[in-house]
Amino acid sequence: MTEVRPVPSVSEAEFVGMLRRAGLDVDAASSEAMHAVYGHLEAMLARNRETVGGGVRERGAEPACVFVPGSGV
Amino acid sequence: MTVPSIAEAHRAFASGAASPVEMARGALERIGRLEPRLHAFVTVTAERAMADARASEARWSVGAPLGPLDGVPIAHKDIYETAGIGTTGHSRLLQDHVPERDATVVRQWRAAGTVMLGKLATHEFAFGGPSFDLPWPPARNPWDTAHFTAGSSSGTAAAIASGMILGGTGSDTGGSIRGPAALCGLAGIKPTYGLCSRAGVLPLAFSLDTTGPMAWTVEDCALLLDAMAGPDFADPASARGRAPVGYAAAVGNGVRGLRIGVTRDWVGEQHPVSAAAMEALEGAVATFRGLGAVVEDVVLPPMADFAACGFVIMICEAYALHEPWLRTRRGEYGELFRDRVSLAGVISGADYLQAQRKRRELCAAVAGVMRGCDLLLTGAASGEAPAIDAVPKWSSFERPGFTMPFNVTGQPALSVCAGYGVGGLPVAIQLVGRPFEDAVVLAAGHAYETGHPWRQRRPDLVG
Repeated sequence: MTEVRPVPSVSEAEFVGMLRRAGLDVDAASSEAMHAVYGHLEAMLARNRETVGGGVRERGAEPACVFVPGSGV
Repeated sequence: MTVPSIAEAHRAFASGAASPVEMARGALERIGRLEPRLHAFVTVTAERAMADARASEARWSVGAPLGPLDGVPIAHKDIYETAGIGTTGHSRLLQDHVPERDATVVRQWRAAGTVMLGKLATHEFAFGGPSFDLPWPPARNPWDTAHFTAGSSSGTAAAIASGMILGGTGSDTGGSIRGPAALCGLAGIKPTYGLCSRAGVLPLAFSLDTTGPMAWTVEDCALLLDAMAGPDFADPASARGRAPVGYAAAVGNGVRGLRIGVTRDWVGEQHPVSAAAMEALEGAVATFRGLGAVVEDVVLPPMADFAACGFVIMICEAYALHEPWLRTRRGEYGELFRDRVSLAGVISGADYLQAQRKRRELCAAVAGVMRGCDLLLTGAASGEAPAIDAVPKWSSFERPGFTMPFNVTGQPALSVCAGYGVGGLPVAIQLVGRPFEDAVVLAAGHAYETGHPWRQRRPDLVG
């Protein structure tokens, strides 16, 4: 089975710029490899913005990691 | 010499048929013979092992063993800190790191009388791999050394399957106990998140990391879990209000009357599996029905939802830990860890929190399904171990797996050997319980395991 990678929304040069803004100085081999899967990461991020089943999340929906005062932290 | 299970070793010590010193010598002999082919260890602590074994033997000789693990040869994944013994995370960055204190679990297992043989290979910082550009080579699968162990508790799996140790520690952030257990033909449980301490264990992703035991049998996992479960104020995620139950005492409880949901819709289009893995899953359905359980199909959210949620959380949390070194000591990392974690440098804070919001929804969805069943039955891996030189760089990222969903939800999940496929390589099933019902999971795994002959076979190289 051949799996098709989603195409990234940015060029490799733009992607390298994003990494540089994060303070990461990435060599050519790494940036090429990472850019090649960036479209897949973007698809994951988009999936996370939807609810289970693909709906629109309620504005007030809480994350799983909620601070609980008095929990001993 | 046949390799016993932990339970068998204990009985042999109790009857005088074996001694801890004799067993430690045998383990060291096996390490000397097999380690050049398996690369399961980063450090072998022979002197410490013999000292531990002599101390154990002295206790046995006066009829005062510390419990069922007294004299049992074990080793720790090399992310568990060990006082005075290097703890490298299998990384060049910590090549010279010698902790001053033991991790809580290391201390617990020592107090139980175990005999420590050394520190075990992992993937770099428990993520990535197999890597060939680190100071130590990756562990090899004892069933066929040309094949992958899976990871990241790779050395633990290789050492147990080959009989070099009887049990060991693993850690599981996305499947790092269950994957190697599946591919190397063992039992391995990712306990409920918070059940076992992570204090003194090098972290990968705080909200997913779980420590747990690996062993040849499910019963052995229960014995090891008994010695590591429980509250620990040194671990912020420790479930302090939960007293551990007797896992080994409950392992014979069986499955009669339990309701088991099988996730058949996860195999096939969502996750193609080998013929042997499919046969194992269907065989387990028949086995559990035969043991008196009610088995019905259930539908969980898509695997891709769990993969997206879990992977984003994992690399963001790992990036938060490693960001300074990724900026300043980048060249000292192996390629796989470095590139996978660096992807998080382009993920926004909002997107991390969207993943955590999705996580709450996924937990609610699975909890809803679990109201109608006591256990879930799924695949543990897609099939037999691939060749070690044929594992794609982004495989765990691009293809949703069976294990990550239960790191996302924090549920207890056990991988059990379920037979052998192409090339005699093991295949496995996964059993999943409600949070803190680890004993139910272990009892089901034990009932399945003892109904099959899979434990009678060891890799040929064991001899």
